[in-house]
Amino acid sequence: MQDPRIRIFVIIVLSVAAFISLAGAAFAFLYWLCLPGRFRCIRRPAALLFFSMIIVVSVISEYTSGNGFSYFIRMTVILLLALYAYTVYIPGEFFRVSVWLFGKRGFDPGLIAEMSMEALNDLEDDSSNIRIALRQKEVPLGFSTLVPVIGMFVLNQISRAYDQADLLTVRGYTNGGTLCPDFHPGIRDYFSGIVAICILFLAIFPIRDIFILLH
Amino acid sequence: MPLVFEDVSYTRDQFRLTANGIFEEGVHLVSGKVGSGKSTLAFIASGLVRPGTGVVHGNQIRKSLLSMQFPEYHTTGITLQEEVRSWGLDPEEILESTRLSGRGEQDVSVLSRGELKRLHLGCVLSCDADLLVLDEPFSALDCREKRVICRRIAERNHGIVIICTHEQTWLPPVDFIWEMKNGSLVSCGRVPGAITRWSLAPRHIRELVEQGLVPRNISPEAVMEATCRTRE
Repeated sequence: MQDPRIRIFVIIVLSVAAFISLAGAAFAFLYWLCLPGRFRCIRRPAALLFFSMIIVVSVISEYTSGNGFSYFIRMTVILLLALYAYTVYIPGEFFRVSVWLFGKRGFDPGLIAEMSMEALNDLEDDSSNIRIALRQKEVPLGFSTLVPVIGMFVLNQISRAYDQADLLTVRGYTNGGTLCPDFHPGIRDYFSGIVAICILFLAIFPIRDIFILLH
Repeated sequence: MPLVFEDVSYTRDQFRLTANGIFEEGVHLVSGKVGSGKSTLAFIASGLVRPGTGVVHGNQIRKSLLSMQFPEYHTTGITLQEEVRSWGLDPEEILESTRLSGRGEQDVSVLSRGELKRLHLGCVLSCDADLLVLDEPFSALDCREKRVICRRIAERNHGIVIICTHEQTWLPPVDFIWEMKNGSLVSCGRVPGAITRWSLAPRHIRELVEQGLVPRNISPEAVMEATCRTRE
């Protein structure tokens, strides 16, 4: 999918479909299997962390309310879709989509979204570099190293935020701005969007009900 | 104990790195523009990134160490003392050599980038590693500190030291020069012959070479000697 507007739309629609029902999750998963670069996204270090969190919540949910299995399936599919969206994201896309969607009012939210994505990327790089440093020192990641490591994450983010604020000030930013986004959607983009809407429809109205209605 | 790159290639998005060559014992300078792949090469050389194809081997290299450009990434101690100890070194000795004596109890976060880099390089250069890869060791340092680091690198008399940098003035005496060109590692050979083949050489060295005054090495002292040399 080349057009970021349709890609973001598809991810949101499929996530909603997966959240609504197990059938929606199953269709969304099939859709995810057809996406290019789908397996590249699950190799990210954060994937394991989020997946572990889903497992923990699912186990607790299964023991307390009995919905653990359903929760696990639905949230796993949503996680896969989110990881895919994060992996294929190209810097500047949220900015362009936000301005296209909200006009001038979309400039600041778009800028914030871009800066957030950049911060996430930086966090990923930081964590990878810190793991390398620990490995080189032959120091296991434990409680004694956790405090300085987390401190480093926080201080780096603050330092980058200062730098970014300085940069925006130097460039005369107070609020708002101008951007003329252009998009070039192809046939595949439209087709992907239509399929996603169909999946949402199937998630809302289960297939069984459609056949009952046809009768 | 040579470090051998055999048909190494590494691809990330649009960027492709290729490397072939033997890093013998001594000090190697890998020069190249920003984004040319020096850091990627440093990670591959130290075994922290696996190449897509080809192999990197150094059979007799027992311990390798990579110094990343940003010293914050290496910080695992809260205080300066703890940080030095995490490298398995004596805090008093290191803090004195890095002119941070009496600050051992201070938090690492209060150090400026330059001070932290000084402390970090002090630790790295005191470690007994057969392969030492320094990625941009001169960044965030003032001229005085750059000179100190050059001297300390020159004092190392064993193992392989690979310096990946785009520094143009403060360089230590080296044995070999390499270049990163369009993602490919190119050997210029052994110094001083390599200086004449060094296409990315700093301007002042290039001008000397053009005038037939080839420096014996690339350190400021050697360049100064060549500049003051009387033509025969």
